[in-house]
Amino acid sequence: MRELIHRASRGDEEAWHELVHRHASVVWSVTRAHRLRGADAADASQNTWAALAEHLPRLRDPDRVAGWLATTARRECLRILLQGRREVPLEQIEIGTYEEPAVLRTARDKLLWQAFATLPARCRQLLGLLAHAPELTYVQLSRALGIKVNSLGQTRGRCLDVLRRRLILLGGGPE
Amino acid sequence: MKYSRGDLDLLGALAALLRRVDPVPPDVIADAMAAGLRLTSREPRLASWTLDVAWLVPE
Repeated sequence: MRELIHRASRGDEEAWHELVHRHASVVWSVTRAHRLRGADAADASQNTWAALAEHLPRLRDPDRVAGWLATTARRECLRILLQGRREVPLEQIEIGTYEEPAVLRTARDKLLWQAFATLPARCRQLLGLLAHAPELTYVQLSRALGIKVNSLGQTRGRCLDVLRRRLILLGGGPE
Repeated sequence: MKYSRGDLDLLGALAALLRRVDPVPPDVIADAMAAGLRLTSREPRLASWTLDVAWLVPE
């Protein structure tokens, strides 16, 4: 990762593309956790990447770039929300509608989606981010989602347990 | 943070599912790539650049 960051900071196009491909889902999941949609989500994402490009040469711990991106994305989401004083009605959130998407191909996909969609919002936010970046520390997760760090371990365990139990109830136990 | 093998399998399946259900839009990826390359290659910025990086970036 250090080498990748070093190359990207020197304007290496291939390295920058690799960085974006690796971590775009992390940034995107933070915008979703803050209920941004459409142009706002795109702006938050783009500004986060621009901030990383600015900050790359001074990044203190390149191995923690996913956490840096998640925290920066949250701050950008909050900035956008504060600027517009927007409150997005729950029913307007694209992913929040949780209708069964057409892209679910297998029975296993459908069961996992059903189980995930019925989780409490906090669990969806937490697992949605962890799924893309399980390497995040509790502190990074706390900063990215605004959850108290003390409760994160317990919350993470509970959310995973609930998801697993709902999967089993729906008939989709461990493979 | 420690995970069991089962946790990682479940999170991996969820990540694959979310990438299909709510993918990062291609134009967002393209913008991220373009913005990053412009800044890392030290091209001149637009006068309208207003992002408060000092406020944004983590300590």
